[in-house]
Amino acid sequence: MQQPFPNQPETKKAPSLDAFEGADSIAVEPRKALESLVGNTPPHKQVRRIALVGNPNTGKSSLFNALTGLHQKVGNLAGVTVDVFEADLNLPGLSAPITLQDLPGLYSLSPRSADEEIVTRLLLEPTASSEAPEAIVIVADATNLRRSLFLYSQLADTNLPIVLALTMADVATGLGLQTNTTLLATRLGARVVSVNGRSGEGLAELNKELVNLAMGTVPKVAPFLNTPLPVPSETPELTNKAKAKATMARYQLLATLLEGVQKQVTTTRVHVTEQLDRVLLHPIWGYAIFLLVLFAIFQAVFTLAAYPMDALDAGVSWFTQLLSANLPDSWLSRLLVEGIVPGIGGVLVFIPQIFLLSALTGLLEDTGYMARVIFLTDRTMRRFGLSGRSVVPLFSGLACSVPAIMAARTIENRRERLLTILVTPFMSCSARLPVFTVLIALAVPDIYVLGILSLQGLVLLGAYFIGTFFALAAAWLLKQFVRARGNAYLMLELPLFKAPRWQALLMEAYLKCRVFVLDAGKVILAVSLLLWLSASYGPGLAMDRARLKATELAKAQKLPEAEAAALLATAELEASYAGHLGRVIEPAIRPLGYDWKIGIALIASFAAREVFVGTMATIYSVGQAPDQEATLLSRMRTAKDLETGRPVYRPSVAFSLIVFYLLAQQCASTFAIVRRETGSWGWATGQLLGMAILAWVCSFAIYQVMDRL
Amino acid sequence: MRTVADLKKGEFATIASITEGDGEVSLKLLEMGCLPGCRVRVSQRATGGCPLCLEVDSARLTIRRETAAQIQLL
Repeated sequence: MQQPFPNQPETKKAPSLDAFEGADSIAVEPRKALESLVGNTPPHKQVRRIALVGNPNTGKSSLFNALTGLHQKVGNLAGVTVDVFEADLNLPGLSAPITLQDLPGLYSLSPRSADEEIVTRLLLEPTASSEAPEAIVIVADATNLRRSLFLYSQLADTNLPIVLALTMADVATGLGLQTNTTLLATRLGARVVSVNGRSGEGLAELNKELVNLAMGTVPKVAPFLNTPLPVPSETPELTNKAKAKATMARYQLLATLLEGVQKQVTTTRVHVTEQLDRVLLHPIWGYAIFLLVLFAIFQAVFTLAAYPMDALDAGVSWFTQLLSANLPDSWLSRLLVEGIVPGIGGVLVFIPQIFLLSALTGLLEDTGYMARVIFLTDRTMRRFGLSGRSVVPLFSGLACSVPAIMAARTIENRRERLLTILVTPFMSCSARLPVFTVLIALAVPDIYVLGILSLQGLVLLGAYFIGTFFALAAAWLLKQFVRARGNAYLMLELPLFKAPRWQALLMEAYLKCRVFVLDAGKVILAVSLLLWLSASYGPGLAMDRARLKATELAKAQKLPEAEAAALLATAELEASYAGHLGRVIEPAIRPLGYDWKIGIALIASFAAREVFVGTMATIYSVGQAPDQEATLLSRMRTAKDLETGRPVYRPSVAFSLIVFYLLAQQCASTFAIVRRETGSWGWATGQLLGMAILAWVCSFAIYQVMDRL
Repeated sequence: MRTVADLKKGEFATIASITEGDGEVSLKLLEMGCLPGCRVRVSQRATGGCPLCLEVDSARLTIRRETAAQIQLL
């Protein structure tokens, strides 16, 4: 039974309650016992955090955007490690702002995937997180009322204050469905607001209800079944059979409650979605269109993003030169010019790509096309032990593995989810791009094939294909070893197609970039600082001795000034802490064709691979004027191996490096997220080691073969 | 007994029962509204009938063939 209510009168009645005054007069069995409670329900306590909860594709996010405008942020809910969109709202009549949360969509409170599990825990075990919602707005889809209300029926049995927001009424009208909101409110014994996030209809009323929720003046909704919902962690023995029984009971009651609430007034049932699906899910045309969409996205990300990236890059070098020309020569300004600015610049350069890729992925999800992609690819992906749903993480992995691995939460099956997490880092992320750009420029001549296709561009495209190939091959291999747990089922709703919410898409892409810059930025900044320090200082007097020796050698050989400076810089670097480290690992990387300088870059890259270029810049510029990329390239091009006299970056070495950076998991953030998402150090470490070994073997093979040709 | 896996594209049918299996999938099917007595239609079938798209109420639910075979028809 519900908790006994202390007998207190309602303190304040909102004007909008008038519509529900008839709430006591329904004749549905299980609610009868509660009729006496509906009238004199006490106020809840005042609350600060209100969440939007609902099925996926109910227009929940569009409602959230309409309510919050552009004031949202990505909040990380402590304790449950989930990133949700949040916004602080100042509502008239409230002394303090409330926090509105947009929780990931779910169908029921018996979770089937990791993201549903997180939401369920937040709702049923509020102690799980200090930021768990204290009241909820359930977003119900008018085109799918019965199923939307199933979730309501479960939440009604919790102690959370609830307001029901009915969305998609316009689409329902288009389908010929008419909903009697007042009757629905009466039957449920709850407050119901019909609202349209796009047109703004009903928003004012919903805002009033938010105020009521915040002030604790929304009466408790009538419970559904007469037993409160069991908390999962307290009742693990609750069987699926019992849950199935309860589900049937809830639906049975819903059928009674919904009688007459919705009427089919016309018979024009064919929505444009059905016609579109005929083409988009077609066994031939469907795939053709999918490939076309993929191609278009690639074009956008690599051609379109190149312009702002070049501009950012140029801006960073301009700023560096400006600094070095105007700052007095001190260790602080050298740290700034050689360490911090190139480090931060290295992060900034990725923003256009991540922004575009996030916005485009968001566009596919928002319109409903992504669900069709899952439908189309599921059959193929299953052969590799993955799910159609893996397409989203793998695809997002082209921008950054970290959000991609989090996106794997929607995969129902544990094995499919685990494999997706393990192979996603093979997808060539945008952090690899600057590394490839430099290496390809060194190894591949700048010529055009057939007059139009840049050979360098083709090699780059090849790298993406190889990454994808290894992701699928690794999944297939892992599938043979990872034990299958639970049923490998897929249950995915194909939502109605709808126009994208442009503003919200841009907003979300911006927020993703922000998270990337802040998270990756911290790592890269730390690494570049550490690297600069270890490359600028050495143990004891080693640096001084090396400097002296190099100066004498230069004098003895009567080297021109530039060459003498280069000799001095190399000698200093070799004597530094970084140089010592590079020398230590040199035996392990010699077979791949790398020298100790590349060794330094490799070590630094295990924190974040994108520091490669910055590291190279630092290594080739410590003690000298700072560089632009062009000069870095020319320096790398002319660098000679002191022992053999051959160029350090000959094609065999450059390709070996490309393969290494393609296959190795060099990213501290990815390591951290894999540990968090799999809940195990073992998988994260295994992935790191496995990919490193694979990278070593493949680079070894490539170098040994190419160097002998 | 015929199941949803046997339905042709566009064919209507009524659900008789859900095979329990390990319990999880059948529970999910029920929660998604696939209840005995429900009128359903296969609106799309990928090559080989896996996955397929099942219309329940006005929602389109994509499921794999094995799951479809758990939904028995009248």
